[in-house]
Amino acid sequence: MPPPTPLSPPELSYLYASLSLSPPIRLDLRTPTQFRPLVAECSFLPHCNGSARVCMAEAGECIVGIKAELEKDATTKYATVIEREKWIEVSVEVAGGGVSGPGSGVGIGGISGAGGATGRDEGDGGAAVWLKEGLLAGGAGGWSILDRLVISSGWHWKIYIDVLLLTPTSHPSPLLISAAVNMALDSTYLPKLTSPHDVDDIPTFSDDWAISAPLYEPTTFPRPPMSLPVVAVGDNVFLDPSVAEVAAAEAGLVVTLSLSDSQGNCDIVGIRSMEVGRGGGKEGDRKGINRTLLRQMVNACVKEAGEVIKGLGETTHKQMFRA
Amino acid sequence: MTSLVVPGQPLGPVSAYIPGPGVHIFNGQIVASLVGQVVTSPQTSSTPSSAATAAATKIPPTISVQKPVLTTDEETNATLLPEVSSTVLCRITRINARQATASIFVVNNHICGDEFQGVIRVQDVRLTEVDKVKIFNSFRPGDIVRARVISLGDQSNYYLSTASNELGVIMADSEMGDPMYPINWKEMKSTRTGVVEERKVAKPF
Amino acid sequence: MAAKAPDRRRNNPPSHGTTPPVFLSSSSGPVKPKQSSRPPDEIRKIFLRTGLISSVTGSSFLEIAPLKLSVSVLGPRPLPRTSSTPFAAQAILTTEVKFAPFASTVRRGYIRDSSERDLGSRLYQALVGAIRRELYPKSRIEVVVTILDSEDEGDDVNTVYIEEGKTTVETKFWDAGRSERALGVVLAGCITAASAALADAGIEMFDMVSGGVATSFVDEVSLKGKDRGDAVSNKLYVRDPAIVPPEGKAPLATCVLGYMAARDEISELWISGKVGTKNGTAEMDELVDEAIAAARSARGVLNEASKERVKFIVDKSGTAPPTEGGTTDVEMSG
Repeated sequence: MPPPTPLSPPELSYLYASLSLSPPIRLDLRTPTQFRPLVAECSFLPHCNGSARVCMAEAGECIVGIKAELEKDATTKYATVIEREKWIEVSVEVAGGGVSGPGSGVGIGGISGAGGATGRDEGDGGAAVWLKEGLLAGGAGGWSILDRLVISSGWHWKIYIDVLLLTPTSHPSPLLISAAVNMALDSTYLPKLTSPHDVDDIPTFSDDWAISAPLYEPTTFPRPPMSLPVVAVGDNVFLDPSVAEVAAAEAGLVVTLSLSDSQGNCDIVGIRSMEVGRGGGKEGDRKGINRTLLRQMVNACVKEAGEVIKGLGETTHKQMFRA
Repeated sequence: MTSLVVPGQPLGPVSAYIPGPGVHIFNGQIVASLVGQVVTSPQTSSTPSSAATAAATKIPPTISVQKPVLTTDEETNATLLPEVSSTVLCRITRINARQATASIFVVNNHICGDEFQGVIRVQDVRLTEVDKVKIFNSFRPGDIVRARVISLGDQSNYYLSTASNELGVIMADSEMGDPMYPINWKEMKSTRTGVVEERKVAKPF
Repeated sequence: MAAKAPDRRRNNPPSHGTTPPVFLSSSSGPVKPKQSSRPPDEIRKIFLRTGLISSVTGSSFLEIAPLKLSVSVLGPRPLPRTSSTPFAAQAILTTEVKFAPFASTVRRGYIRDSSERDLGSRLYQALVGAIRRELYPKSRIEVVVTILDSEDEGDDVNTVYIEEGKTTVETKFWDAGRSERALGVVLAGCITAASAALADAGIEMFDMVSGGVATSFVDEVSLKGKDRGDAVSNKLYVRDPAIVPPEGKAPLATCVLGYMAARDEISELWISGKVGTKNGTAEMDELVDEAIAAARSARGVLNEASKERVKFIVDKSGTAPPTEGGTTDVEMSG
C-alpha cells in the first residue's frame, strides 16, 4: 500500500503538475537537491556505547541507541557467515502515540511498505533488514565492520542497534532513520582491551573511556553508511522528498552510500526501490524506472551525498565527548 | 493458426483498431494485457441508413484479447467483479427499515468465486411511489433477488437497485418455509398453504 | 524373460548384486565446490509451468537448478468485511513469500522471519506497477509464494576459518555477498513465477515482469590489494550467479531487478554490495545492464510458459478462434 496521505486526487494532480514543471516547484520551495533542515545530537544516552537523536520537521524524531555486549563465539574454530551476521542486531520500533502503534504494520518510508498491505502484523522487519544490509554491504570490498567486532580468539562484540521512532507520520523518511543510525555508529566507542588477544579466557577491559576505541576509526574509510531517498516526477528528480511528494511521485529509490575518502567521494553500497504513491500521474504512463531516469536519480544522490554525510560526520565529531 | 499473445505485446497502432477488452494503449500502440488469442471484429454497421457514410467514416475494427478457458465453470469467473449496471443474483441476508443487505453470488449469469456484499436501500427498491416502500414488505432474509448494480458503493457494500419490472424477488419461501410463486408484482403465494405474502416481485420471463 | 511367478514367501534380493554406498572419508580434505561450466553471460535453464493448482485462480511452478518454488494467485476477491481499509478504487495487491521449513539446511520456522517479509515486499514492489489495478476496484489480489527448495547458505564453503592465535580474522573465505546472491536468485525466481501465475489467473497487466540477477566479481588478489577492486577493467559480471563464486573471484555487488521488457522499465531494483562511483554511475549501469540481460533471457521463458497453458486449452477445446469475420492474424510488431 502506498503511504497514506491526506491529499485528495486533485491536490495530488496539482502537486504532480508543479513538480513536473521545468524548473520544478516544490511545495516548500526547496531546490530539487536541497535537503530539509534537521536537528541532530549524539552521545547523549549514558548507558549506550553510542547514541544519536535526529529530528526532522515533518518526519518526526528518531532515537538510536547502540549497545555492545561481550559474546563468546558460537564455535571456537570457525564461524559461518550466518553466525557472523548475527553479531549485529538491528531492531526498529515505532513508539506509541503516533498514527501507528508499535508493530501496527506500517512501513518505514515505503521500505517495508508492502508488508503493511497484507494487513498482518509485519512489524518493521523491512527497515531492520535494509539498515543491516547497508552496514554489512560496506564490507563487500574486502573490509567488513564485522572484523572490527572480533576481540580475541573465541570472543567478539555483539552490537545491538535499537531504533526508536517517535513520529507523527506513519511513513517517516528513510533519511531520518538512516541519519540517526549513521550518527550513532559514528559515535560508538568500545572499551579498550587490557587482556592479551590470544587467550581464550574472558577478556578484560579498561574502565577508562578516554582510551576507548571507536567502532569506526574517524580517519579511515569507509565510514558508516547513509541512505538517501530520491523520487522522480516526470523528468525531474528530487532528493529528500516530503510525504506529499512521495505520494505524487512515479518512482522512488533509496540509495545507500558510504564515504570512500576524505574528499567526500562516496561508494554506492546499496540501492532499493522505494514505494511511492503514483498519485498524480496519468493512468498507463510510467510503471517503472527506465535506465536514463535511474542514472539521473542515482547521480543526484552520488553528487549530493558526500556533502551530507561529511556534514553529518563533522557534526558528530564536534559533539563527541572528547572533542 | 491463431496467434497467441502475452501482456506487453504490441498489436498495432491506435489508428488501425478500436481497443476492446484485454488490451490497453501505450505509446500510441495497442498492447495486449492478457495472455490469449487476438480477436478482431469488424465494426457492425450500427447505422443501417447508408453504407456510403459508413465507408466514408471508415470505422476501424475492434481488437481485443481473450483468454480461452477449458470449462465454463469457476475458471471463467475467476476475475469476475460486479460493475456498475451488471445484473446480479443475490441472497438477502439481513433487513432493516432502511435497507436490505444481500450477498451477491451471480454476476452477469456467471457464478462468482467469492460472494460480494451489497445493499438495496429503501429508495432503490422500486421505481414509483418510492416513499411508500417498506423493506419488510419487499424482501425477507433468504429471498433470491435479481438486482442491478448502481454503484460500487462504499468500502464494503455494492449498492443494488430493484427499481425495474424485471428486477426483484425471483425465489422466496413463505414464513412457514414453503416455496412460493408470484401472483402479481407485489405478492407471492405459498404453494402449500396458499398464504399470500408481500414481496417486490420480479416479472417472470 | 521367463514368466515365473515372483516368490512372495521370501524376502527377495534384487536380481542383480548391490554395492554398498561409498562415502568420502572426511580426512580427504574439504570437498571442492563444484564449478559450473556455464559461461557467465548465460542464465541457468528455467522450468516454468502454469495452471498446476486447480483450486486457485492462477498458479505456477518454477525450477532453476536447485531452486523450486510455487506461486498461487487468489482473487480478485472481495476485501475483508471487517477491514478498516477505506474504499479502494484499485485492487489491493498482497504478496507473501515463505520458505518451506525444509527449504534450506538450517530449518526455518513457520512464522515468517524478517528476510521472508522483506522478500515479500520486494516482490510487491516488482509486481504492483505492472498490474492494471484500476480494473479491479474494491478487491484484493493475493500472491502467495512457497519456496520448496533453495540454494543453500550454510555449507562448508561458507565458513570463515579463524586461525588460532591471531587477533584479526584471517579469512580464508569471506564471501560477504553470498546471502545476497542466494536471496537475489530466489527473488528473481519469485518475480518471474509470480508474473506467470498472474497471467494464468487472467489478471490484466501492462506488461509481464521478469526477474534478473547479476553479480560483479573481482579477482581475490585485487581485493586484498590496496586499490580494493577499484580497477574497473578486471571485473567479471555473472548473470544468474550460482552460490559458488567463480574460481579465484570475490563478489563485489549483486543487482536484482524486476524488468518489464516491452516497456523497458525497471519495476524493482535492489543492489547490494560495493559499486564505485569514480566514473559516475558507469559501474552501476554495467551491473544493471547485466541484470537486465538476465531478465530478458528469463522473459523468453516466461512468454513461452504463459502461452503453453493457453495453447493447451485451445488445442483441447478445439475451439476455432472466436472471430466474426475475416483473417484474425495480426501482424506482430513486437
